Amino acid sequence: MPDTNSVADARKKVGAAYTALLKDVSDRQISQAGSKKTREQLPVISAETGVWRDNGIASKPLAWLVHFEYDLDAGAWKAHLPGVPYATRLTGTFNTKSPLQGVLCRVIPVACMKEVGADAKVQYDVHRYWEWALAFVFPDLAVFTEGGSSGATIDFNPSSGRLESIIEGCAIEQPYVSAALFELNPGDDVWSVGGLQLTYGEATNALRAIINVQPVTVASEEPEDEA
Amino acid sequence: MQVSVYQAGDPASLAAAVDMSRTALLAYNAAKAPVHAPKVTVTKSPTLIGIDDAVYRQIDAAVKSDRHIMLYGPPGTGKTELAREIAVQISSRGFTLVTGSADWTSQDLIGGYQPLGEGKISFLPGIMLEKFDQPFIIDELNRCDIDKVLGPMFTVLSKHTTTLPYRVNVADRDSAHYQIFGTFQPGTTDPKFSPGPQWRIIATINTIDKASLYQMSYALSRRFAWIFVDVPQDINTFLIEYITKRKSKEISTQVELPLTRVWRSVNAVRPMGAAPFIDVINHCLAVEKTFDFGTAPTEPASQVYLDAFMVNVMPMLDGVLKDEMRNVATEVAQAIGLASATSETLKRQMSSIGL
Repeated sequence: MPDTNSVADARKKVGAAYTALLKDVSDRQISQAGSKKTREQLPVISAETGVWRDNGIASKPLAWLVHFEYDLDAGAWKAHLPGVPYATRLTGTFNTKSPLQGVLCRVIPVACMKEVGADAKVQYDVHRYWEWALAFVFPDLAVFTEGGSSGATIDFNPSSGRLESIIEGCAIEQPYVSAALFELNPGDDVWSVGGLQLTYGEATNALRAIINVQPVTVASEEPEDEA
Repeated sequence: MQVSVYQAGDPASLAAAVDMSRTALLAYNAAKAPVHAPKVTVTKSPTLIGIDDAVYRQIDAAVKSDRHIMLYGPPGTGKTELAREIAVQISSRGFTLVTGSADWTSQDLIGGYQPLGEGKISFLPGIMLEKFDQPFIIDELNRCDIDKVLGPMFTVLSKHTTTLPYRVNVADRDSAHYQIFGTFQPGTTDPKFSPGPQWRIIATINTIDKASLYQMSYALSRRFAWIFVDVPQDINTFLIEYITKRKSKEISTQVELPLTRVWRSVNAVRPMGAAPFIDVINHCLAVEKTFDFGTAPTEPASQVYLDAFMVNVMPMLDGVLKDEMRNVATEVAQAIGLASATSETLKRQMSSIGL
């Protein structure tokens, strides 16, 4: 039976696999953002807004919040980012002194339930333990390494696939050679939301549908000057 | 492209994800230049003659120990050609050669803010950062204000990362600054610059100019391996080898050439490399294809020698003391067999440009 512990264990396995990979290839590390916090220890997500209750958390989140909403026309669940500032922020401050070459972020689903009618209200619900892990591996040291003691953040635009680090207020593109989304639950696990049912597999498909990635390849770079 | 999905709980799926990342990472690294430039051995050039073996030995050690190189010595000793030869031997990506200029600022070499039009400005890299993947030759480095021009590179020359005083976003006072890594970092992109594994500075300085042009601070000096390129040890053999190569005609090594005596007399007051004397040889051969360098000159040959000397060597003696000039003139006149009247004219002319 899946629960918070099984999800945390699955996430640890992913983190350990990438740690071993980077240790082997470049002797560098992957940042496992928010990995030390249990779900209960994470800041509260508001049932009224579907985002962090404390606005101060938004700029330095420990996880990425993705909203899921049932599309009556399509007859299927769809995912989208909350329409609030910092919605593309995957995670908050890193220790920029570490030799990092990748990041493993937590993705937490928030169900969005809209009532029908003139005074329709919107309510949000957060699954108790459902999560995904989103991994990026960089071609070399993270651009924010040596960026200063103030730390750095990671923003991800799932439409364009662009990853950015916000360093001292300035967005710097962080190239990546690979990206992967990890299911941490069984696909048939069911979430009952406002009288509707959403399986983890359906949620994964909805999530995957909005995440585009643009990993760099050498061939996609500018040709080298062979003067 | 949509993100690929893997199951963390399925060992095979997790392994496939990691393998995908490993393959991408290794392919990326393999396509890039190696992290460290392969150690190359700098060998004696068959085309450069008159360069002492010790010079090649010192250059080879400097290259193997990842030092920047400063070639210094009298004018005409082949420093520029030697710098090019080093660059060719250590680089598979070509090289860039620039000649020092008093007009240079750090903006020319490193970069700086430049207008983009419509009231916008931005940092644009200078020629050294643009050619950061290959040897960078600065010929006659002391013709520019070295400390001012290379100042921002002090730290990089010691293989440490430095931050340039230019913001990525000019309009934002809190914006990050451009940075230059001290060592090769594959995959580095703007706003960070990384020297390629084959980048190194090879500079030349004329010792005559060193006193009169821009001085170099001790701090910058110690960031280079200084290699003295002297005049050839045996100038008679050097000249015979060169003339034999040019004319394809053997000259006995037992004889001392008139030109050797001229060169020695010049070296006594101002050490000078081979270049002006190669110009003398070429001048003589241009006038007379069969010009005989191996025997005592007759009247027409004396005149050709004199013209060649006045055109190519005498101007290089500007600033030598008058007494020394007269001594050189006496030696030259005897070496090339000038008549007494012509000899006196040469002494007067050389004295006139002496101090």
